[in-house]
Amino acid sequence: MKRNLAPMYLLVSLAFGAILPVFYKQPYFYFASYIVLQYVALSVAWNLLGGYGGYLNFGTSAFFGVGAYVSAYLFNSLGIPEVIAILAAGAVSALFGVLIGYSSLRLRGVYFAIATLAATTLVQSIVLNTPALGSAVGLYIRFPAAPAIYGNLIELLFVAMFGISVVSIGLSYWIENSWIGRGLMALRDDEQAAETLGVPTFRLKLYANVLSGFLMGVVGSLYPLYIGYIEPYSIFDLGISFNVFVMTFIGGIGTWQGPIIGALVLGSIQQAASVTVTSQYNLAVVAAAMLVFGIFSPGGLKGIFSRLFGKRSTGTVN
Amino acid sequence: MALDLLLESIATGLLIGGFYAALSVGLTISFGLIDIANVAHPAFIILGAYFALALSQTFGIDPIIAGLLLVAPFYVIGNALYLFYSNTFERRGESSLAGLVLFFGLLILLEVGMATQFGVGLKALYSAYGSVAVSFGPLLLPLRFVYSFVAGVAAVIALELFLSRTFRGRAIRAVAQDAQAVSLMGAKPETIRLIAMGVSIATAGLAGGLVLAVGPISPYQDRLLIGRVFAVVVLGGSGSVVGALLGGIVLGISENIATIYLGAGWSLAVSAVILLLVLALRPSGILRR
Amino acid sequence: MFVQVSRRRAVSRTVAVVAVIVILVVAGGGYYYYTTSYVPATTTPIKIGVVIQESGFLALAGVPGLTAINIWANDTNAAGGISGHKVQIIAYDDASDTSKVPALIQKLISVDNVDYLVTLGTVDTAAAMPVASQSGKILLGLFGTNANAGINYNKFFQAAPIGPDPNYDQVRGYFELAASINPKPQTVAFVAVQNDFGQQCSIGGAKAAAVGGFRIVDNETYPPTQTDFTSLMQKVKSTNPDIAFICSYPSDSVGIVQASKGVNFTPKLMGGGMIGPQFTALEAALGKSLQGIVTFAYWVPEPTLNFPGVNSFILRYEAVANASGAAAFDPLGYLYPPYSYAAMQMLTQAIQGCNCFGNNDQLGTYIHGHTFTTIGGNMTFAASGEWSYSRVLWIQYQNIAGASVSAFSGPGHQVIVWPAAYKSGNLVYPFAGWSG
Repeated sequence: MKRNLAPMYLLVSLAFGAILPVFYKQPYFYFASYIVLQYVALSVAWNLLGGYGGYLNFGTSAFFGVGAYVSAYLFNSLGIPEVIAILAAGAVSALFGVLIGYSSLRLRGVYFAIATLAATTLVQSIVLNTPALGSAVGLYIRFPAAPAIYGNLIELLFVAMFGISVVSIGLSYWIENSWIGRGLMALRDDEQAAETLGVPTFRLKLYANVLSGFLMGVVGSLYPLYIGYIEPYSIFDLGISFNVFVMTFIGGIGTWQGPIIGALVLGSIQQAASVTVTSQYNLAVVAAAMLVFGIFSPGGLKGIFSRLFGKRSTGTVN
Repeated sequence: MALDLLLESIATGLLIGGFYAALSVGLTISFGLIDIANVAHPAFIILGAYFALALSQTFGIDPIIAGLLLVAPFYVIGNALYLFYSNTFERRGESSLAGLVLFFGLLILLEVGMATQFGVGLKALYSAYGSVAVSFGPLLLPLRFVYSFVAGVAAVIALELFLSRTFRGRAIRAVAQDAQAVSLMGAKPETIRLIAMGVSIATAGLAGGLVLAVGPISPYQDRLLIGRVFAVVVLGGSGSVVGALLGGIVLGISENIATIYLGAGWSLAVSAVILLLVLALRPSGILRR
Repeated sequence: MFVQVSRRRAVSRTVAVVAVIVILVVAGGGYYYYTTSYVPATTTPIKIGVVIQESGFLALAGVPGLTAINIWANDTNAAGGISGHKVQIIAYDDASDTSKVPALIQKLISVDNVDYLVTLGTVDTAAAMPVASQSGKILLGLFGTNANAGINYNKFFQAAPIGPDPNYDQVRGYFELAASINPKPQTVAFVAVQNDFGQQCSIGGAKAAAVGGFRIVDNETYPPTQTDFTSLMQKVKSTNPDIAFICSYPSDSVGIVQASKGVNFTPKLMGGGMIGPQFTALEAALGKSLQGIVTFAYWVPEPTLNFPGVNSFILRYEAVANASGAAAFDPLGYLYPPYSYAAMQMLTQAIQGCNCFGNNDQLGTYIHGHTFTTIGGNMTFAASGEWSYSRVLWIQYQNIAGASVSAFSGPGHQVIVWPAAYKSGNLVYPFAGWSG
C-alpha cells in the first residue's frame, strides 16, 4: 500500500519545498538549510553504493567537486545557461563514476575506499595544475540576475536543493525496493554467494556508483552559485566525505531513511553549534554528538525514530 | 636532467620513505591485523609530537629520543583506547565500520584539545641538525631525514621481529587470520588485540618525535597525513610492517622523481596514480601475507 | 555482520533518545542565552559581526586577528564608545571551513542585525562577498589577496597595506630592490606553494619580473603537503639563478630554508614572498639560518614605522597573548594583529567623522573619500577597496645572534631595505651564504 502512495508523497514534498519561500522569508534559514539539504542529498546518494552495496566511497568530495567545477566552468567561463551546466555537471560526474567503477569496483571493501581517496587527490591535483580552472587561485563566480520566481537567489537555490534531495530520496526508496537494491544487498552480505546465484554483481555496483556519482555531481553543480568563489582545497575537502559517511552511519546505513535522518540531525547540530558555541569548542560539540550517537544508537537513529513513532523497525542494521 | 640530480632524488626519496614507514607502521598493525580502521592515528602522531616538544624543551633532549621515551606511555594510551573501543563497539559484535564513527569523533576531539592546550599556531624546535646535509659520495642527504629513516627502519625491524619471533607477536598475526583458533591455543583474542593496539599507538609516539624533528607542527596537521599514511599502508599490503616500509619508499621515491621531471606540483597526482595502478594490478598491495 | 534490532538494545536506545533531547535542549538553550544575554547599553550599540577562523588551519591567523579586534572593542568601550555608542563584537568560528561562511554572514545580517561585517583571508572573504554585498553592509577584509575580484563590491575595505593591484603590489618591491642592485641580477627562479597566496604571489612575481627585465629560468610549484624540499632545491640550484623568488607558507618556509642551506643553494638574493619567518616560533627554530634572507612584512618594530599608538598596542597584544597561557599564540605577532586593529580604528574614525552610523552607503562613500590615521599609518582606499597605495615592506634578517625569541625582538634584526621611505638599513648583498 505504502508503495502506491510514494509518488504522492514525492509531489507533496516537492510542492512544500517550492512554496515555503513564498511564506517564510528569513534568509538565514535558507542559507543554513541549504548546507543541511546538501548533506541530505549527498548522504542519500552515498548510501546507494555505500549502504546497499557495502562499498565505502571516501571520494564524495571528488564527485561533488567535479560537479562544482564543471558547472562553474561552463556557466562562468563559457557562458552556458545554468540549467544545462547543471545537467552537464551531473553527466560528467556520472562519467567519473564509470571511470572509478571500472578501475576500482573490482576491489574489495576497504581497498575500494582507499582507491576513492586516491582518486580525490588525483582530481584535486589536476585542478591545481590547470590554469583554465583557476588552479590554486580559484574561480570567482559571476552571479546570474535575481531569478524572476522568488526574486532572490538563495531561495531559488534552496528550492532546487530541496528538489534534488526529494528526488534523490525517491530514487533511493525505489532502488531499495527494486531488484537493484535487493541485488546490492545480496552482494553486500556475501558477494561470492550472490555471484554464484546469478546476481550481476559488477554491473549492479557500477549502476549504483554511476547514479550516486550523478546525484553528487548535480549537488556539487549548485555549490558555486551558493559560495560565489571556488578553489580546490575547500571543494575537494576530505571533511565533506567524512561528514557524509558519519551522517549516513549515525542515521542508519543501508536504509533509505537513515541518511536523511543522519544528515538532518548532524547537519543541524553543526549549523546550530557554529552559531551558539562561539569558539573552537563548536567542533568539539559536533564530535561529542558523533560519539554519543555512534555509541548509544547501534544501527543508527533510524531505529530510535521508528520506535518513537511507534513503528516496528523493519530494516536490518549493521 | 642530470644524473646526479636523479640519484640524489632517489636517495632522499628513500630516506623520506623510512619516515613515511614510521608514520604508517602502527596503522598497518591496527588496520591490517586487528581490523580497527583508526583514522585518528595521525592525530595521535601529532599529539606525540607535542609531547615530544614538551620533553625536548624541558630536558633539552633530542626530539627523536623524546619520541622513544613516549613509546611506553603511548602503549598505555593504546591499551586504554582499545578497552574503550571494545567495550563500546567490538563486544556488541559490530563491524569495524561502527568504529570509524568513533575514530572520526576522536580525531576532531584530539584536534580541538591540542589547539586549546598547545595553541593554534605553529610550534617548532630548534635543532642543530635541522638544516644540515651530509655528503655521501656525490650525494647530499638531509641529516634529519637520515635520522628519521634510521628510526623508521629500526621500528619496522623491531616490529617484524616482534610479530614473527615472539609468542604474543605471532598471536597478533594469528588473530588476524583466525580468532577462534587463537582462543583454542589458550590465548584470549581480546588480550591479543589489546596488545596490538598498544603497539600501534606506541609507534605513533615515536612517529611524533620524528615529525617534530623534521619540521614545524600544528594542531590540525593530522589532516595532511591521513591520505598519505593510508596510501602507504595499502600500497605495501595492509597488515605487513615490511610492506609499510616498501610502500613508504615507493611513495617517497616517486614523489621525488616527479619533482625532478614533472615538477613538485604533480607529485601527489603521480603518487595517486601509482596507488591506483598497484591496486588494479595487485589488489592487496605489494606485499600481502 | 547484519543483525536484527533486538530488545536488548532498548536501554541504550533510550539513553540515546535522552542524549538527543539533551543536546537539542542545550543547543536551543545556548541559542536563547546567546541571543538574549547581551545587556543593552543606554544607546543603540554598534554591532560588529565577525566570521573568522578560530579553529582549523587558518586559526593561526584568525585567532590573532580576533584578539586584536577584541582589544579594539575594549579600548573603544573604555573610552566611552564611538559617539556615545558602545561597540559589541559578535564573532563566529567558521573552523576554516569555507562552506560555513555564507550562512554565518547571513545570520549576522538578518538575525543578529549587525551593523558592520569583518572576515579574514582571501577564501573566506570571497565567500562572504556575495551575501555581504546583497545586504549593502560595510565589509572589512583582514588580509587576503584580490578577494573582491569577483564582485567588485564598493563597500569592501581590505586592511593590509598591499595596494591597488594586489598580486603585483604585494611582490613588486622585491624585484625593484633587485633591479636597484649594481650590477643588476639577470635571472630569477620561482618556487611557489600551490595555494591561493602562493599562486597570487607567483602571478604578481611574473608581472614584476617582466617589468624589471628579469628572465625566469625556473618556475616550480609544490603542494602544501610537501614533505622535504631537498630534491626541489637541488633542481632549482641546478638552474643557477641570480636571485630566488620564493612564495611559501609557514611550514614550507622552514623546509625550504633548511633544504636550501643543506644543499648550499646561494643565489645572490635569497627570499621572496615568504610567510613564516614572521612567526616567532619559526624564527626561533631557524635562528641564524634566517640571516640574510629577504622577505615581506607589513609592520616591524623599526624606528621608521613608529606610528602613533602602535608600540603601546603591541605591548597590550603581547600581554593578552601571554596571558592566554598554554594556548599562547604568536607572542611577537607583527603580521596580523596591528592591521586588524588599524582597520577597526579606521571604522571608528569613519563613523565619527561621517556621523552616519546606520547609513552604510554614506559611510562607504566617506571611507572612500578620506584618509585615516591608524596604528598602521595613513589608510586611504582605492575603488576596489584595497589600499590606494602600497606599503609592503621588504626586510632582511640581520644581526641574528642565535635561536631564541629574544634574538629577533626589538629593532635591528628585521631591517627594512625597501621602500626607501621606510628604509632602516642597507641590504647586505650578495647573500653571504648560510650561517649558524
